[in-house]
Amino acid sequence: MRPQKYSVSSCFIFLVIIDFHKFLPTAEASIEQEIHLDSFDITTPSPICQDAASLFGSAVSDFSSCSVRNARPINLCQGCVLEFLTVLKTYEDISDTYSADNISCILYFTNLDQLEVLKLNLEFVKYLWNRGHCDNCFARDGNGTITGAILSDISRYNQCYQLTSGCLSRHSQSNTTCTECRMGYNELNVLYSHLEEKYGQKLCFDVVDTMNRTRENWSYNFNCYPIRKSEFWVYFLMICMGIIPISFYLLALLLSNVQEATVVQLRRMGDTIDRSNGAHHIVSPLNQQSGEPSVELIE
Amino acid sequence: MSKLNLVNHSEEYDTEYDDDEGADIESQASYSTKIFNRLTGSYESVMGPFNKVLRQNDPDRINVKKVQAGNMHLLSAKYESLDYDVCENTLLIDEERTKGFRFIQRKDLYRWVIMIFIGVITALIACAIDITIEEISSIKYSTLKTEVDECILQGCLIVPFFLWIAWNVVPVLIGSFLVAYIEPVAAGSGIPQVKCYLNGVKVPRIVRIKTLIVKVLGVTTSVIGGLAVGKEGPMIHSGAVVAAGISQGKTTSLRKDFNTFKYFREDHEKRDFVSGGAAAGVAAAFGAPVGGVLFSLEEGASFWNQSLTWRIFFGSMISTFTLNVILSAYHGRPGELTYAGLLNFGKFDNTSYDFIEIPVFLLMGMIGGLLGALFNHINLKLTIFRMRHIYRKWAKVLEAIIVAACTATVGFSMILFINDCKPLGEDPTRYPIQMYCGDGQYSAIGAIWFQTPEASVRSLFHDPPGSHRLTSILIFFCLYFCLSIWTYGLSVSSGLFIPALLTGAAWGRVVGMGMEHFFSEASWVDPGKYALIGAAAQLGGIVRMTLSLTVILIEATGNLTLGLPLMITLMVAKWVGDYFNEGIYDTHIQLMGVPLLPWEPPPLSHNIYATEVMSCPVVTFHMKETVGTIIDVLTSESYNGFPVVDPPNPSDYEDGQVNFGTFRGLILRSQLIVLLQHKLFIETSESWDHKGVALKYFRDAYPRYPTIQQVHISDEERHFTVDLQPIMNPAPYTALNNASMPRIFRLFRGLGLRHLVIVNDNNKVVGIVTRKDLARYRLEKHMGKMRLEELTILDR
Repeated sequence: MRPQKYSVSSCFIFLVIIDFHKFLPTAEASIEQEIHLDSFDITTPSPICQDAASLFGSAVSDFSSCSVRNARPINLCQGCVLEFLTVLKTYEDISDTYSADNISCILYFTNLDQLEVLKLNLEFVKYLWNRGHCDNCFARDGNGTITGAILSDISRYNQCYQLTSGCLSRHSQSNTTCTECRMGYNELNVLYSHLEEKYGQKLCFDVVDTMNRTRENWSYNFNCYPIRKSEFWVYFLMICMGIIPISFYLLALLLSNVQEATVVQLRRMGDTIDRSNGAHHIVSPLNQQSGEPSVELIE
Repeated sequence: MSKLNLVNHSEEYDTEYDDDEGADIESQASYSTKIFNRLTGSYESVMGPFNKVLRQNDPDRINVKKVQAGNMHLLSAKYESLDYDVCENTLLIDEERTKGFRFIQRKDLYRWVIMIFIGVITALIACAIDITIEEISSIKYSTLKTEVDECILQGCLIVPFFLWIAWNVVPVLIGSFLVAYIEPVAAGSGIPQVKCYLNGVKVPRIVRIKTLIVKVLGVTTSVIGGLAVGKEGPMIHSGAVVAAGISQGKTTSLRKDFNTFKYFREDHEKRDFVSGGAAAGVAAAFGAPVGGVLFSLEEGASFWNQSLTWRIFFGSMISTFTLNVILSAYHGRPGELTYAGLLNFGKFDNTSYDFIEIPVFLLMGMIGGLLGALFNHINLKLTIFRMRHIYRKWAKVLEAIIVAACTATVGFSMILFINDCKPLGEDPTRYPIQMYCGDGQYSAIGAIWFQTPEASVRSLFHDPPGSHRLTSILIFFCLYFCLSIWTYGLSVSSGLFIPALLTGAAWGRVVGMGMEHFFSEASWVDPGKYALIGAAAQLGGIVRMTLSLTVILIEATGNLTLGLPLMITLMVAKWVGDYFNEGIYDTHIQLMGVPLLPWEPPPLSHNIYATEVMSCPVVTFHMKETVGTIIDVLTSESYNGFPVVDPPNPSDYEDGQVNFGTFRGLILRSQLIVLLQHKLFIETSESWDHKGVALKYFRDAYPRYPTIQQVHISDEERHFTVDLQPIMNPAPYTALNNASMPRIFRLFRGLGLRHLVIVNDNNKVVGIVTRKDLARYRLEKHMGKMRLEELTILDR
């Protein structure tokens, strides 16, 4: 009974480690790691694990090259979604693959050194993806993980964008671009502002970039600026607002009465002596000039 | 009473002074002047340095001196001292005998409890102001944004322009109406008034609940109204009012007495709480509990002790914490405690600085000092103009409205004429307006104007490099500088911190752009950092605070690394500014004519003796005095303290000595009034038990005692007598007649005295010194010159 019980509990601990050690390398986990190091040769992964890892490596490299390909104009999310999903899949596969010793392959690659090459690669991919808020372009499945399917409102926007950019390129040589394509452009703007409202700052970057480019084109290449209408009344009001304060202060200056207050006479000892003695004038020097700067201290 | 005693000797007037009573006081003054005239005959020499001395043509009042309002060299007689000194009369000693140490323990405990309440309620008020401003401002700016966006296409720009003016004018109209007509003392930031109060001056109506309500509504409306104001200064005043209110357990304005904390009903205790309230206000405003304590220490309390420091710090912490909890819940992150303070400067990421930058910081401090001095100078001239020419209430309201409308005009003109377009990015521009920019861009100037000034400060601190064009930010700085000068001193509740920080941040950012140009390689160049230093320099140059301001800024930015640069900048700004003039708060205090006692007595004044400083002759009472005499004296005189004496010996006069009898004690006007009000006469002592003359009567009447006219005494009762002995303070502070002015000054300043009786070698009263007798001597510094000035005292 005893050994069995032991093996069950150790197995349980082992599972716990597989689940959590990538998130929290606790002291407990590192002790277990040492046990593994004693029992297995963890430094050289078994061939089957090597294969799984290299699949992950090529997926990362596919994603990297795809992202660079789609850097300008930005089409990272929609252009590289398959590559991204592959990266996630292959990384999971490493965990799910077991070597001959029935050890998950991931243990050969994580929490052994400072460099953490595999993890760093995965993090890089995820970082790039999240920076573009790419998750918000795609539908999610029941588990909440993203799928390769583009969300319906995004695809509607994309269609509208295709129409507008087609229109713009058709009329690129004529002077009537602004009037010809205004309908589509306005519709695109409306769709975009809806999306913006929905996602805020987290709008999928493909969309943001296409919109920015279209707007830039619209304003700079086709010079579709709002026309400055007559601003006569604005200037008129401004001039009024300039005159009002000046006249207010002039009127205040002219129409005000002089504001004055009575000086309170101070009672000083000199006066009292003066009064009680009648003859003497023992008035203090300061009192004589009270209210005046009396002492010049430092020049 | 001796005939001599009828002559006016002091300048302490009644507290409850307002416009209606103005006439009374004037006639009183002219009356006393006439007596003076009859008795002495000559005073040709008694006129000050004023160019516009006005003499009345009325022959009856020929010698009444009149001085035009709006002068720095005046003291106003309407300000009185607080009774910081506890009156140790027989009643107090009797009461103490019955209390025992349990009472002291309870009192100590309640001090802490009150501090908790002060902190919590101050924070609640701060939250209410903040959330209201945020909500209404967001409606305002989103409406304006929609309107602008629409009208740019349809050519109806006059509509949003007009709408903007209306959105500014209507709230400001409400706010300034409240301030001008209901509670004028709520105007401005309130920091000068709180400073005066903590210095020991009773500023009429400053800590009333009415003032608090007007202040809160006023500051909310003026920030919503888009004026160049902040809500931080008023928070300090609000904290002070809350503290004064809670610690008393009653409100006279609302006629409600909660019958709690009665033993805190005296100026001594109240002032300690008020300094705690001011600190809690700073703590709530800036999320700076330490800064709050230091503010109270630096700007406020003349009297400080260590246990008070700890208690005030406790109150400030409670205030910060409460504000934090509520605001983080409001912003949708409950329990996260990320919103410390109303003024949130945001986090600075890049705060490293290089050795090369220290001279730049010094230079920025100098610029801040110069600009601050300029600000104070122009504002002083403007305030004098306002005192002389804009004194009617409706004119004050009109002026505030005009400023509000002009602020909108300036903003709109800048948006219209400066075409500074920036691409819409991830920077948090809440209401980007496009104006004539291309699609996908927004007007950078519009972004600064379409938010509260506080949010503008934040964007100047944190917007990435290249967010603004040099010219647009320079124009913004010039215009906003002028607007903030124009706005401070209007009849609205307004803080000065935010406009100062905003102008400073604007020119600081310009410096930052210059540094970027010259040191484009360096990693430490960050325009946001220079914006912060510039903001500090500008604010330091205007308010001339040192330690507390440094700590407030460190705490508000949550960054200790920039402590040294901030300190250097503020120090230089203060030095440079002090060369030209005084801080804005001190300037306004001087214009108000408040007898503020500085830290130190005037230098080289040891040759001024008590006999020259004191008032003489003195109105005195005897130990047993008839009711009629007391009423006559209280009606005809306006002082608050009367020495109680044994009658003087007639032979004294023959020696040429002046004295008013052997000194026995000091009695206050308020005590006499309570005595008369409750008819505690010796003849009727069967009807009231002697032991019944408890301190209760005095505490119930505090802080607003009735005037002598409100006390009804029948003709028969005038012949009764009262015994002053159990009520008077039998051993108040006295000084010998040959004591020097610095000695008297230190006694006053250190102990918070209100009256100091001057006696001669035989303990006979020869005079009395009040706060104004000392505050009259003021040291003036200007452009490296110093001189001792003697101020004139006015009746209002």
